[in-house]
Amino acid sequence: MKSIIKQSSLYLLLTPVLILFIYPFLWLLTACFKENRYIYKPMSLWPQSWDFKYFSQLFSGKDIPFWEYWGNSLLMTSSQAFLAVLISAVTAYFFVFNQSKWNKLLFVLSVALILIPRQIMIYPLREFIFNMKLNDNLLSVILPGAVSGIGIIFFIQIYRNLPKDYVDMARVEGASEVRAFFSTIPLLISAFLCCFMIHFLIAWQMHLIPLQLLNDNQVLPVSVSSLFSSSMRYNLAVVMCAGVFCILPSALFFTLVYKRFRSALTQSIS
Amino acid sequence: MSLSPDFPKDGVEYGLFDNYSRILNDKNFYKAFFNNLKYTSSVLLIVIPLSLVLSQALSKLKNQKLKYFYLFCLLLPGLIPPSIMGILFNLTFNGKTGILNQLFIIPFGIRPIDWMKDPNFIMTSLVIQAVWRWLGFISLFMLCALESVPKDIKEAAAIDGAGPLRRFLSIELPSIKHVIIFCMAFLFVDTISLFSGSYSLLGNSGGTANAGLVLSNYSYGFTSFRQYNLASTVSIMILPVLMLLTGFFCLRKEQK
Repeated sequence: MKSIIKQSSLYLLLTPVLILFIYPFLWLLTACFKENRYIYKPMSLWPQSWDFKYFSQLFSGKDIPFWEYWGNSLLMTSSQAFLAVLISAVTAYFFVFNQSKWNKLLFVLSVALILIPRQIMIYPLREFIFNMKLNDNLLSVILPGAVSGIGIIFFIQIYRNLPKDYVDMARVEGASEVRAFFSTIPLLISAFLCCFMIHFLIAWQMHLIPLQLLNDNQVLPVSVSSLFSSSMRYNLAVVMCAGVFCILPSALFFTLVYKRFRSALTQSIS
Repeated sequence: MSLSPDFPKDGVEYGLFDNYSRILNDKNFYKAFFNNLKYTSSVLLIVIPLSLVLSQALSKLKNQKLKYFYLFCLLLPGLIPPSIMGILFNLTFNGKTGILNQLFIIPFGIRPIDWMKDPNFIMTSLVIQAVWRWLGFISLFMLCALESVPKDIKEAAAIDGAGPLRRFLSIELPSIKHVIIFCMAFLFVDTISLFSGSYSLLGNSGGTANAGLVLSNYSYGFTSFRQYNLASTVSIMILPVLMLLTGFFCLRKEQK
């Protein structure tokens, strides 16, 4: 009896928090169907009618070339995440299974990479990219995130937990280092997915770098925000629809990996 | 780049540290710096205790499925790009009609607060935004840490007569200390480099009376006049703080 009261009081405590966190999302979703004057009335959540005309207006590309930007964003984030995972996994593999005197330096450098925010490095980076004539090119947004400190630290932890015998065995069997590295991947698939997700999220949330390096706001989240702030003559609902599409990929992806993410996190913390 | 003049002309002498003195004499730099400090410290002070409470509450839930459903919903805000969050919060904070005023201020008979225009409240709204965004993720970290604390120690303490508070203070807190420190470092870096949140919420000026101006907005402001040298000067001046933090963090790692 006592435990029932305790449990239900916990739910009573947590549910308002939950509503507070979910409400803006519900609002964003329903705002896709409302006219401008109804959007700013937060208490009336339910739209007058479920009409998909704002979505079709967004897809028609009258306000922004939606499909192009969305494709750009997806391409940019997934290739950046892929590169980041690959590079940091290889680095961490080398770090753990080959003892060299540079290890300590590498570790400090990767921690520094985490702790020095990109915003600080943006202006030298901008100069660099302009000298390489890569500005206004998607590569310029992909490359800066391709080396990631978080990824290196994460994989160092992961490879340390992997029994060293596996790699030694592969070496004894005559596999090259590259082959040995690739043969460890199936064992660590969960960690690879998590790391990919983290980098996907980070890349999806970049704002300053695309703003500085791309000329016509070619990435969706940035362009949506500029669309929103630029003028009120648009239908706000169109902006809201675009916003939904900004959230969609990362939310879907996160839902898929959520369970693995949790277990990997518990492992790496303990 | 931080040492070079903006538009070099022949025959004019430039001092090596001109940019630094220009920045140091700028009133807005101090404004941005202290704003950033205020923002960072208040986010840290709010998020860490709240997430401890939340993760405690979540870890007590018996129904595993519901527990992770709750956690998932709390995590959602961390997933959305800050630029979209700016839009959401534009609606939340908006004038009299915003949700915050409608739900929490007007029913209590207080005059509605204009969250985005009143200089006294701009910082508060930025902090609310950050708390909303990160609370879920930090709670997830804490929860995972709490669950990895061995159960038998807790049970032994309970048999020895330690109450819940006592158990929390002397068993759980010390064993998740490293996670708390990690979370603090994470939040610190994220809040120091806050750009997108305030940029999409308030535009570049940081709102009325520069009340929401933070360092990266400040340095971004120079780029509209192509003064990249000044912008990078600001960046270099933030660097020592972060270097110190890096050193601290590395030392802790080594000790373990």
